[in-house]
Amino acid sequence: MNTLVEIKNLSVSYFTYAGEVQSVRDISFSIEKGKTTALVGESGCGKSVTSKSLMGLIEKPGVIKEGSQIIYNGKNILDFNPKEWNAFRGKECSMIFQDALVSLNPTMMVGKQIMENLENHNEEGLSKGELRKKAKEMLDMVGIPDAESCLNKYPHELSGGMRQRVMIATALITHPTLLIADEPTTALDVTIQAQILELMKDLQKKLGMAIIMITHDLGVVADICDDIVVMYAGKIVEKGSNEDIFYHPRHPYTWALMNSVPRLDLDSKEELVTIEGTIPDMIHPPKGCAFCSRCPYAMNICAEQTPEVLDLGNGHEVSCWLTDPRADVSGVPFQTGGVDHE
Amino acid sequence: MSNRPVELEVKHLCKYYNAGRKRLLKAVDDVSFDIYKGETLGIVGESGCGKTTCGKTCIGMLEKTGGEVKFQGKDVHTLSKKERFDFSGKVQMIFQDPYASLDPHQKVYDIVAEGIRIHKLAKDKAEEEHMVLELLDMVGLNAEHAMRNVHEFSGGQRQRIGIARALAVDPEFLFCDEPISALDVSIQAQIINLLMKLQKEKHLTMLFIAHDLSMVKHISDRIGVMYLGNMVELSGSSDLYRKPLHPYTQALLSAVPIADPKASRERKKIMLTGDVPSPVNPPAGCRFSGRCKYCMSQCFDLKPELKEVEAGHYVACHLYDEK
Repeated sequence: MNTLVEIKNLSVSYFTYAGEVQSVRDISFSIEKGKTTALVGESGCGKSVTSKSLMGLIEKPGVIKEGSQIIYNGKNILDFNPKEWNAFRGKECSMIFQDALVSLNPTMMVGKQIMENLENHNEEGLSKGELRKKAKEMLDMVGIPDAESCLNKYPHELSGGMRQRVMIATALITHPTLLIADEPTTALDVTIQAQILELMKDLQKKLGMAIIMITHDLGVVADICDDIVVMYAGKIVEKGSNEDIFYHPRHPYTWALMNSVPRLDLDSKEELVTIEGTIPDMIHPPKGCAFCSRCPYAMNICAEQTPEVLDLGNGHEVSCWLTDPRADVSGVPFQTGGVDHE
Repeated sequence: MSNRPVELEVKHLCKYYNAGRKRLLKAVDDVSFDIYKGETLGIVGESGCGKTTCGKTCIGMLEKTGGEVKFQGKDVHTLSKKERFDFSGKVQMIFQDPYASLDPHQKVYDIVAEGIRIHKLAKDKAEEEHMVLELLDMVGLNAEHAMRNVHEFSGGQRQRIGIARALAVDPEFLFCDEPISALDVSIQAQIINLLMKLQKEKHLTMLFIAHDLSMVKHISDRIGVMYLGNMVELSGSSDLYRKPLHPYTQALLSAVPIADPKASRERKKIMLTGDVPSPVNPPAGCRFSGRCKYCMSQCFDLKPELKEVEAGHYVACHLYDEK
């Protein structure tokens, strides 16, 4: 195991006028070097908040609670002072966002924006010309035709796919060890999405960075991710390798999520699996399992007590009462506890 | 298929916008298709391909520039006031954004009842109430929701209200413009199941527009693929996915990620290079010519017609010209 970042007992709350919104509640997972980890879940499940904590971007009224730890290179980054954060952000860890048009500065030329990140972390003391050369190389690398003239363009002159490429170039120019991609392809058309995903895979091979992919598109997850973390209402309900989650889901939420999207390559007009109801109120999160109110297999205990995390081996972990040997699992369409059946 | 009665007949429909400086933006350019009674026709394509404009022009929400649209034999764009009124009782729509398409000042009850009142479908207040509650029940909401304001509902529930409003006048034709793209994955499945159930019960004809190809495939009987204002392929939905003929359709389908790691790894993707050209100055000849890897010399000059290549499978591509 080659762990790059270890997140331990992370809890984040937002103190609003309505009360304390517990966005992330005591989650732990780790990110491997050079691998792609997906954070999957519905809107409001806390996946973006988790990634923001990694970048030190939780602002008031948000608070990272006592006891939370994010270990990077043996250090807890949550203890960083502003200076250390500035050295970390953009250099060790970069982020790309969903909407490239609002993320890029509309009044600044593309070349300057890319160079800006490098200038801030310019330990080698490179000259302006050298920086520019590096920026051009990076634009070439992300597949922008005629990179030289692109340096002198403004973001509005580029198409959506090209802007996303520019943003990736800006994030990767410092060769970070971790890239956080927050729904990077959601706003794009499928053919452009395919191009960007191919590019990200390709760059990961060349530069060797780890990627945290935040998305709700399971197709994207299947395509590029090695590990998957499934979040629901601020908690991790299941995590494991790509194959574990897709072929041996153990949590009813994961299972329903996998079966709620029709498959393009299969011919089926059967009714889709739905998850009835809506996500719980995060100001008063349920006492027991958060999914309990929407779970068709919920038992009495589910509403009372939070299920323990069960380790199924090889990093596949699930937290659900159905895995308990005493649970009645007749009528549950997926396997619950024990070892994976083929 | 062809012996079924045609509900909506679209012939050489054009919709141009003035793009300034004497240029025209050809949003929909010479599109022809039929929708048979009781079927669901899906239209897919990337953003800016003209699918929404096409749908809106088809039901008369937008003025046409050229061509003809006939609903049950009557031209949609030249209806008299009386005919227009009847038309609105037969054709209803569901919109993409459930937040913008419902009046925030009205109670759910009034939103749903408005159509009933306009078309005088209820004899008295009691019958109206009965109808509204039945509609709410049909879309999975209950009586308690009727007196609430719209802002109290989540996106999925709002979309249900939108569906109840559309069904209030007991329409025959439903135009769904991206009804699920603003919703979460688990909610999307709920809405799709609901629409499919309602269609079966009420024998609705549907025009379903979306960019999520797997959802469109799931709900549609036939699918049309649009690219830059043109219909490039039209066929039965499983046929289209099993055997796409147009190079653009092939690339589009191969780009859709599949939620299965093994299948996803084994699949060959066709990568398109470049972006969609501007509809203000589209390529002459085939609109896809600049990005197509099978492009031949005539593709640059001669625009291919939509032709029936196999039974019920239409494609507009010179690759399938008779030699």
